[in-house]
Amino acid sequence: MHVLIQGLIMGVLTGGVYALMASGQTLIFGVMKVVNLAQGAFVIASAYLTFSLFTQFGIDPFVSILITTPLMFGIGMLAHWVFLRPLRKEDAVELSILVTFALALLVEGLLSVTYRTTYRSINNTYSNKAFLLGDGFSIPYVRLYGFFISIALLLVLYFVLQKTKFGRAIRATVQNPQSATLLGVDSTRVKAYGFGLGIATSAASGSIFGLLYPFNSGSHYDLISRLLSVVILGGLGSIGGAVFAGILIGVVSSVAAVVWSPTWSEMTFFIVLLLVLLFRPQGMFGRLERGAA
Amino acid sequence: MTTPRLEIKNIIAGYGAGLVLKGVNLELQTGEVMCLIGPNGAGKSTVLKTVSGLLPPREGQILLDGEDITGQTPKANLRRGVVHVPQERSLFPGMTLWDNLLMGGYLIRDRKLILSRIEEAAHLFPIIRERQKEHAGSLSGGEQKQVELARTLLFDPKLILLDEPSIGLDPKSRRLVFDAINGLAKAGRTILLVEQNARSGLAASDKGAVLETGVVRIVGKASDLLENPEVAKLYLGAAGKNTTVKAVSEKAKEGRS
Repeated sequence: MHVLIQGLIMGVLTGGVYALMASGQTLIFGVMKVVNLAQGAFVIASAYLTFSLFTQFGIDPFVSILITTPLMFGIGMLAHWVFLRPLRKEDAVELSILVTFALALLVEGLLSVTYRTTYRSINNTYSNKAFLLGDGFSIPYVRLYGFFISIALLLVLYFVLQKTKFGRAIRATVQNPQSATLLGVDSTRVKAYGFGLGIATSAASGSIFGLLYPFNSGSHYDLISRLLSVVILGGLGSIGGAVFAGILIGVVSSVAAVVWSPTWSEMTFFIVLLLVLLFRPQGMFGRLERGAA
Repeated sequence: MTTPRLEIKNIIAGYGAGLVLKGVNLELQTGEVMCLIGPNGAGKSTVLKTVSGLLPPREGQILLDGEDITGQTPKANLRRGVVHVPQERSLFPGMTLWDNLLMGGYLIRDRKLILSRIEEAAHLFPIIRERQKEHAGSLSGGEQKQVELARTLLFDPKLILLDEPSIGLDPKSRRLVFDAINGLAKAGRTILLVEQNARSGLAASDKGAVLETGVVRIVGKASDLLENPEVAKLYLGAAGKNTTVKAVSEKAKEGRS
């Protein structure tokens, strides 16, 4: 029982980070109907950037979020302008899958050239420290800080989307693009900002990811498959769903790791994905497209 | 002679290779309500789209208070006071009524002005005050249309373009919508209305026009159109499908000769 509760705690803490990561992914889908296969690559790019800021300038990885997030927002806007905006409107959704995959390969290539392909990890003074809670439950500081920072950033994202004019324009574009245009919303600009915001959200989680796990330039393949599992479970385009699914999958995989083995932990993402696609293809908080079977 | 609020001069427009409008001419004075009727595919909605800027015309001219607005973007036209309420539901179902109304003031920077216009709109449409915290998706079709119409008032519009406002509504909701249109008309708003329910549409209008295969066949006082036997036969009562005013007129001429 002790092991199970320990797994549960670790799952919630890790799930918070996945929730943040997946929120960026699902936001982009919601605004642009684009399944961004480069999302994992941007998370890893952010982890590398955090690594450089730490090793070169001694900047704490959590503090570096203040640098990586706006920087990746700009890179996301640029990526939208160069790669996605020129796509023909009629084919944009289908082509964007190929284009974002090419973008992921481009980012991976650049990271490989810059950092080589050896695994990196960020080890600061509190990386391996933990405190004991209650009946001997070990809580690593990095996971605890990572969880609370993820939740804080999700609250900021919620505030931006719910309480600001920009957030209202994004939600309006997600729900009814033609109507938003007729009310004066520049949908191209909103999509660019939405893409930038989605990349920035994931980038913030990339700094935390770099602290939690070793990574190399090819780590994005594993990451994007996990992210897609979370996003599909939550329901494509639903940020609340992504948060719920992130924490749920975090818990299930963590409990599987302590109860069975870490190998099964890896598998849980895909088992959950399979079950969702079989029994509730629209995800937990998603809606079926009209006309869908 | 006063400058018309809207002048549509010989507009030709279409989608892809196909032409839908083949030289449409219409004129609307300030404060007038005009109802466009005609069979499916005649180009009624396309007329509205060319005026709002959703579909740039290939030829012709559109003047608003004498100013050429041909081919301007929807955003630019919105700033001039041209508001287009499309046929499809145009509220944001997952947002509250209040957020939907605020979106109506998206281009207005002065929040006090937005709030005062919402207050004005609430006199005509009390629903926006009574149910402002509810999600738009929870309203009935007729209630949603009322909110859409209320939202247009945030622009203090010079011209409201209404595309099939009563489509898909039950009789009670239809009454609500036409009451709302009558309210807007009494408030002196200029409205160009497209309506399949021709009798209700014409009854709520000062002028009417019949559009067939991309051309205006008849234009005149709405009351005259309501009494026009050809229009009555085709659009106000029972008539054979795929029939047009032109076809009926020609048949009548043949009968006379």
